Amino acid sequence: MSEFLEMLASLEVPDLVLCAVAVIILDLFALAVILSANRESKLCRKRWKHVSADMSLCYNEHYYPLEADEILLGRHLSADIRFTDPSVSRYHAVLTVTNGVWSITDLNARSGTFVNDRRVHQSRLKAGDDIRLGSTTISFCKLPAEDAQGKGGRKHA
Amino acid sequence: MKSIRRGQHLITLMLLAFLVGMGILIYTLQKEADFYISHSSKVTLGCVYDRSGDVLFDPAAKKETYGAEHFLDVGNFIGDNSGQMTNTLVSRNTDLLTNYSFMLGVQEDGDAAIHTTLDHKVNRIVYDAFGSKDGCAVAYNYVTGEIYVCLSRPSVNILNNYKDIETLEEGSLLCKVFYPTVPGSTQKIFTTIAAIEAMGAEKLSAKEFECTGSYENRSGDLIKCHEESGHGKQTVTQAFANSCNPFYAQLVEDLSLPLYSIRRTYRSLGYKVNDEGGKSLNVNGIESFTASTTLTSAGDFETQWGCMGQGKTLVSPLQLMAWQSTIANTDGRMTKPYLIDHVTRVNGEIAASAKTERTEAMFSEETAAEIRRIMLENGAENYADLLPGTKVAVKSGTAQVGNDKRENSLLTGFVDDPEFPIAFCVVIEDRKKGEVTTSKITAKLLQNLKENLK
Amino acid sequence: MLKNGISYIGTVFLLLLTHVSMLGVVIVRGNIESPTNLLLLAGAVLGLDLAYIAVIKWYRQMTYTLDLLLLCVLNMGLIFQSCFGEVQLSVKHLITCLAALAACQAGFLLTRNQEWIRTKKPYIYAIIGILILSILLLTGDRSMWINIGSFSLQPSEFIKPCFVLICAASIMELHKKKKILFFYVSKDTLCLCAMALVIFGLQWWCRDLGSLPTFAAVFGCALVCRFCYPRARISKTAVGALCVGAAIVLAAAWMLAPSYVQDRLHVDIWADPYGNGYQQCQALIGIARGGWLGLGPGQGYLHNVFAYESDIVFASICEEWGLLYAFLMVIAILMMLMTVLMNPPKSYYHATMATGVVAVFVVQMALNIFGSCNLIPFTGVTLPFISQGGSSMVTCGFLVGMLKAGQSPLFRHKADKPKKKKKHSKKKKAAGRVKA
Repeated sequence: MSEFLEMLASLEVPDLVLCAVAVIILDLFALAVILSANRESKLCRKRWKHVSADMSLCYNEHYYPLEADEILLGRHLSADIRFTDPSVSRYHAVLTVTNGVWSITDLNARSGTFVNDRRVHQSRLKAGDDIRLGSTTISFCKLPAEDAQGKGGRKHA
Repeated sequence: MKSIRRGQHLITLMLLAFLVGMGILIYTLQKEADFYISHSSKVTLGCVYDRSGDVLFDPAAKKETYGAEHFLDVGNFIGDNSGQMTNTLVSRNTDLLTNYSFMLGVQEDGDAAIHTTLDHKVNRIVYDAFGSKDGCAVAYNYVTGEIYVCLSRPSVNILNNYKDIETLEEGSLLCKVFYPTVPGSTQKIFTTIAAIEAMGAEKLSAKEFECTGSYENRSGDLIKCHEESGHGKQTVTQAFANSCNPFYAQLVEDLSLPLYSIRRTYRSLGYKVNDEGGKSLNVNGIESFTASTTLTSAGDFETQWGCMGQGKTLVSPLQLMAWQSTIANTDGRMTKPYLIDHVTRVNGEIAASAKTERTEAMFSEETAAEIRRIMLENGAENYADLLPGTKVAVKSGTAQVGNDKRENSLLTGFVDDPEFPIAFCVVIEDRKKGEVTTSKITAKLLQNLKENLK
Repeated sequence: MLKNGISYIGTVFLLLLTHVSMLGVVIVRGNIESPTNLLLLAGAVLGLDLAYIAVIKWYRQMTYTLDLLLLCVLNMGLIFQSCFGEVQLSVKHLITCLAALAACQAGFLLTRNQEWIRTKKPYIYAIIGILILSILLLTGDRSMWINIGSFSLQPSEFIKPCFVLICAASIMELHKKKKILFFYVSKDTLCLCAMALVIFGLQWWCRDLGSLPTFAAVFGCALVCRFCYPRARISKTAVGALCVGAAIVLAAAWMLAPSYVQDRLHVDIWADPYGNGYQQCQALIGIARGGWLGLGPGQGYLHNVFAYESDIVFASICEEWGLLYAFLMVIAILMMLMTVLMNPPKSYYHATMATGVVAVFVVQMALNIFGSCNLIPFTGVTLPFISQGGSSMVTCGFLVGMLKAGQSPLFRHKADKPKKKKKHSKKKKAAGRVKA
């Protein structure tokens, strides 16, 4: 501490003040950037809702927001949405989005992928569709408003 | 989604690893900045002082301010920053002397300084006591480890700025205290220690060997004694005082002192025996030679001489002195010598203060007591005038060096006085009859030191 | 107010203030020969700031923080570079800064649409091929520089963004796997591995051992992203085989490394401060001389040491501006990479690309900073955004463009339907322009 005070004394005042000011301003700039990035991140999430049409999968009364352009459904550890049901294959099906339209593609799962009880290899999805993987049924629906903010937000953090 | 998050974790990991690296970098930089800056030509160095504030090194020293030969006795020990000598106090500790700190930057007139434990006045007296002879002397406090005297002749006058470097005598640029020397009979201290360790004090004192002036050893070689008429039958105490070679040759051959136990004792003292072991010793960065010897078999001529300080045995005077502390402290543990008492930084703050360090026990307390008795007896009988009124434990030695019959004279030992605990080692090179003796120099050293330390 | 509807006035103001305060430090502490030099520098820095902000007003992007950060760091670099030795505007660096900003925009526009870039993969391979050939044919004597008059180009720098791009663009092809020998591999993965091997071999051949770790890191990140890819289905055997392979390659590299490289791994530079470690010794002495606050712009001595403006630029900055400010500069560069964390990409293509870009920057910065400070062997790579050198600046600009693409991606697929929302149609036009 004494060394620090001595340093203050040995420097000419404008020198020190300027160094401090330069450092502080750079720090403030960094802070401003973080704030801007935070605002941008909200904006990007909003935009993603447009791209993804704000859809989600509902399983066991639990909503899973779709936050990437490719979502793997399956039993494998690496699956984005994971089901423990043994009739679901490890890599069962994948959801992809194109201009707000989601489609499901079966990954040659043994028990098959069904949309509204029709076995499909690839199919577009619309809100309210039921997807069945083996004996697990999930529904494809709009994300409820409170979940969109609350849960979606939390998932990000 | 999950996988994107995993990618994010990977990025976080990379950034964190980099930040940790930056942290380490900043820590190392500000910790080692003193060392870095000591390589710069843009920084000034502080002074080195002795224990009473006398200057031992000043980067701006001139003959006019200090007198022409002020630094002569410490020239090759304290040294300077010229780069001509690399194993001196200044060159090994330039980073402590820089007038610089990471906070304040380079300061023209800082307070950086090294305060040593050396006694320049006594050092100079001892230096002069050598007269025209070459050699070295070193003495320290075996309780605390402070070095009081350390010098080596011939020395170099750093105020001459090496203009006379061509005409300097050989060995001027190094302090012989830290370099190898043939120990001669002083080695018998450690052979005796090995014998006590192997067979115990009682058994060793009971042993007697005959000296008829020479002894034909197991392999048929003749071990001569310096007393041509022989010493007759003697015990270890007598043989130690007489420095009798035939006695020690027979001791090494004795079955109750196996060679491996000598090797073991030597190694625990720090010798490098047959290229194995060896504990280095350094004084505040000044590197010292590590004692070494070769012991092949008990009946071998070279091995027997090795145990008597000739043959392949080499030690440094510093070690000879430091080993005295194992005996003087009666516990077999060595007190490490040091020179820097404390260091002041550029802003005057005291940065590093010396601490006494002691090694593990090198031999047992019983052994220490016995060798102590033998050495004190020798001192009382033959060296009573070293420091009148005080018991001094001593062993002298004469070492043949080179092939031209040159003889170095050595004297090592310690003062048995808790008020004045000094261990010393003095070496005179190429001493001839009638010239100054090691005991004269030692007496001067001890008496002046006692006077000065009061 | 920029086109995404967020007000950046505060940030822009602080950006300008950052540079003004730096110029203030130059005025008070700097070694200024003539006021004209200072005016030129101030004009260049503030002019560049204002001009670029005016230009990006015309661009529609989702995010602008990366642009502002890039501008901040580039101008900081310009001030640093202009002050070494004495204050004088470094025109060469100013030009490379402009090139870097242009490259950033180019990188952004070229890489934001994954569908489009996927169709262009053969071209990327071709570009890398041409660059490799140019190294083999045009650089004389196993070097990595092409000298054209007084200009010198380093083609291996340009390979970096291409390599990152190809790593990202081929990730979607993972599901087109076929059984070849024992493993299920996709054609693209094989191509990528072959390409990586060729690049590694080339670096090894022309002794560009500074770039080798960068490429290795990018390739490593690409592999990790592949393991994370949902449809990767990479078996444990494959992972094991890869690990064993990597270990063998590393061991072989260790054994086969030329003796001068091995020397660098365990050499005490202080044993001979004027020998091989001269630059590092001088760099460390310079940093020590600078301390926390530095000697002042233009007051240092390091500008007499070779490569003071590129390889040991971190030390030069520390000497003149102080370790504190140099550290903040590094943080500013890291902030650019951190925007990826604050605003995560939404597609695997962009995520892989971001990981690759971060790997390039982190490894380059680590090699440069830690290398010049003797924590790791000195390799002589450039410090992104700060070191002088056109090739490296353009590459860095392009890479930042790729990061930006991950923040404002274009999800526009081939089978576009006219029922798109209005907001998107404008972007479509922008992308259309690029296509044409």
